[in-house]
Amino acid sequence: MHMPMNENNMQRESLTVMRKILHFKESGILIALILLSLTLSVATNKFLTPYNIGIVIRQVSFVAIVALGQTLVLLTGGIDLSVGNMAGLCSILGSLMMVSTRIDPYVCTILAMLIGLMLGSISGFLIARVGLNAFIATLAMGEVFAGLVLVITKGYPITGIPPKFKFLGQGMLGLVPVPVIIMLVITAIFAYVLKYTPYGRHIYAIGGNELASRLVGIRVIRIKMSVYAISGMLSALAGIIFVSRMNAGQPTIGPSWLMPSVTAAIIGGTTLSGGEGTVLGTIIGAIFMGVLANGIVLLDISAYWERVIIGAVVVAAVIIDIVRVRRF
Amino acid sequence: MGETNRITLEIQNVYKHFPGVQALKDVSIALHEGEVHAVVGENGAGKSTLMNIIIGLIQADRGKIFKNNKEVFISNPIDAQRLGIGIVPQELNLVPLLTVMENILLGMMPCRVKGMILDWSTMSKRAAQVLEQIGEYIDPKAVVANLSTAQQQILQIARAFSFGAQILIFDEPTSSLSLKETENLFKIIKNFKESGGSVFYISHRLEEILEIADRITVLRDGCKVAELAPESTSLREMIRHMVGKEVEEVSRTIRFDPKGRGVVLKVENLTRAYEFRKISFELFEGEILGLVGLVGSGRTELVKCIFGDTVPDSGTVHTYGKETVHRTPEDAIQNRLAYVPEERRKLGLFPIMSVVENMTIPILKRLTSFIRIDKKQQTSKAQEFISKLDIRTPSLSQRVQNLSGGNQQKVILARWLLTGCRILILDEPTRGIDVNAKAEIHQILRELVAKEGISVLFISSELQEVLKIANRIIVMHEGDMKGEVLADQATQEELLQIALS
Repeated sequence: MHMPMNENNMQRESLTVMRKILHFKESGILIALILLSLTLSVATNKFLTPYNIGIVIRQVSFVAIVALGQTLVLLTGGIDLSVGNMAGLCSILGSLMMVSTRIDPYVCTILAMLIGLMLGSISGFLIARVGLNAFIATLAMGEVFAGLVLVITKGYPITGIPPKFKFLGQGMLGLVPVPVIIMLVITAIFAYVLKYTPYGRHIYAIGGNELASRLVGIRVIRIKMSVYAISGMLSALAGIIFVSRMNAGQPTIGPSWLMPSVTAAIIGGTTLSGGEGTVLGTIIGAIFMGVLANGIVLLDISAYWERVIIGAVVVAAVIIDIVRVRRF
Repeated sequence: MGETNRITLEIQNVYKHFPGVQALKDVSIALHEGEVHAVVGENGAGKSTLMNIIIGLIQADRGKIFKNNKEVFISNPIDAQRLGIGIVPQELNLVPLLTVMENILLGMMPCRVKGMILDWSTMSKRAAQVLEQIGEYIDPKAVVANLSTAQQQILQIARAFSFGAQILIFDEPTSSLSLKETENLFKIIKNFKESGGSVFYISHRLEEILEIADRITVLRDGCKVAELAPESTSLREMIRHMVGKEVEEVSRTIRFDPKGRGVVLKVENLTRAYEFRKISFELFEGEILGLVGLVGSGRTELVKCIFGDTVPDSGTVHTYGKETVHRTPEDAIQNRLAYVPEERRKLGLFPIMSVVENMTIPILKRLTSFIRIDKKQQTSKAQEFISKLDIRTPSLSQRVQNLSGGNQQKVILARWLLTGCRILILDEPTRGIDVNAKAEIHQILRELVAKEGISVLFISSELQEVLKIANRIIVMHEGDMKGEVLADQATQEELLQIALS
């Protein structure tokens, strides 16, 4: 009696696996990325060179690291608008430590990340415990961070970063730039955590239905605080890697990462309402945007058009997503 | 009575196909002037599809619609409005932060200066007029969010009246109303039909259909299977047509003997300001304790407090003989309590997560070895309860939102049984669920209590259901505990009397 049932179920399961591949949430953006790359390879011979690919992927890695944290926040149904300024502030604090103390630059990196973690927890506390709207809380916190950067630096870059710190942003492991490796490692960890641990599933549950989450015993407040803390930490990491890449603490870095961090997640299939999305999608989304920006340069289109095109792509991506959902 | 009256709306041979399901097959139905025409059927029988076609939300694949013997085409809700068809939906769609008058006249607010500036005084007058027509007084300037559910429903009716609807569709209108409010609603419906209006009435509460309807159409699997007259039919016959077979209803509970049974839950003088006062009761092992009361009685607030969702101002809770404090639901769950909330969609389900995950979400940590969830064990546990509770789902990975209401409720029930709970709190567990699933859930509860000694605290607005399933019943009214009765000795009237005494 039970055997044929099981077989039946297995058949059904394998059917769903097939369906899953077809409806694989990331497949849309992946196909778009492949098509775009093919187009660029045909249109210009400068695209598909190891040198160019290296540049693109290294550029992408900064935004991607920020976007990974952003994805966690989005999955809970929140948003972190402070990521850019958080990266700016933590990188400045990190560079100051490197320049004005004898602390090892890599220890400074960890300290900067801890500062990011702490500042992120403050946003998280305001949102999860006090009940502020995530949009407002992180927008305001971001302003505080941006202001502090100017207070500390008066607008001047911080130079004199120890040379041995170059490795983090400029080094290579074999053929692969170090920031890219860091990005891939974090992606792998997050993908695993989100899929296979209670913590990860609870994040999806909170985004899917926060009220119900509390009633099934999920520690909603703690988990919500944690995603903002993680987002802050990763922003700090991205900022400090950028310091290593530029050999200086730039007061201007960061703000330009906010929009791409959200768009990478959104075009990678994460929804703003929460509960849906993957980090793999986010990484593919980030690469897509990097390739797009690169294509604009290679094809000699005026750089002024970049934001117009990216804006249009986001609108298109969201429309496609709506249409796809409606079909069900 | 309706036979002599003219047909006002006639639907002929309607078909509608959705991917994977024939939602309506050759359905014809006629609505006479001045009649209440009930449409009944299990979930998925096609009631909603049919009504959505009538109000223009979706279009039929085939078939015709006649209004006053003239063929009409309803391609959107505005067409339906023009034809005088209005709906009072199950999920009220009002704008909570706007006023009563704005909500009533939404979309056709009176304006001055070529539609540029709102004419507030005319608006207020018109809203008051419409409300008077219904015979209800609600301040047109009140903010909707502050109204009771019953009043909000009246607004929805008023909205339909405001454009002169001749045909009203009521979709499960009484599911969140108290008995008195239901009576009031019936009065409104009767007035409406006496003034020549016609009503399509959808409800799962078959008793009330026998009371209000002039004609009953039964749908099953997208087909019309019977047209019955309430004078000559019975509950049993209706259910037989709906389900296609005889439903074994659980028999009434036999007397429960607490002798030799432990008290698993003891509540003493539990009080929470503005919600409930000095509530005391005991729940025995293996007992089903009914908790009844009208809307606003504080019963949901009481159980939420016991479950740790809120904190009491004073009073104590003892579980298994020991004093306990549940600061969060997590504490309560660890103490082997479980809570199936009233609003399934809002508080119970994770709609876009899979059936498996919905069932195992409270026990993920228990299923984890080192840091990884043991997916095999997760699946097998879920599978076990899917067959135990006979949950009908195409696959384990199906999103729970695609299941029928009854199966969703069973998923939530399974979720708590998987935690190994000993005290099960059920808040309106069978609301909006079809007869068959309801009977199944009753059966499951009986077995849990008898075989596993689980104790159940059972809240329901349907007094008959409580009388049937519970051993003892406590009655609450406006935050106070009014009395306690043995279910096998009580009647509905007595329960109401106790509540209102």
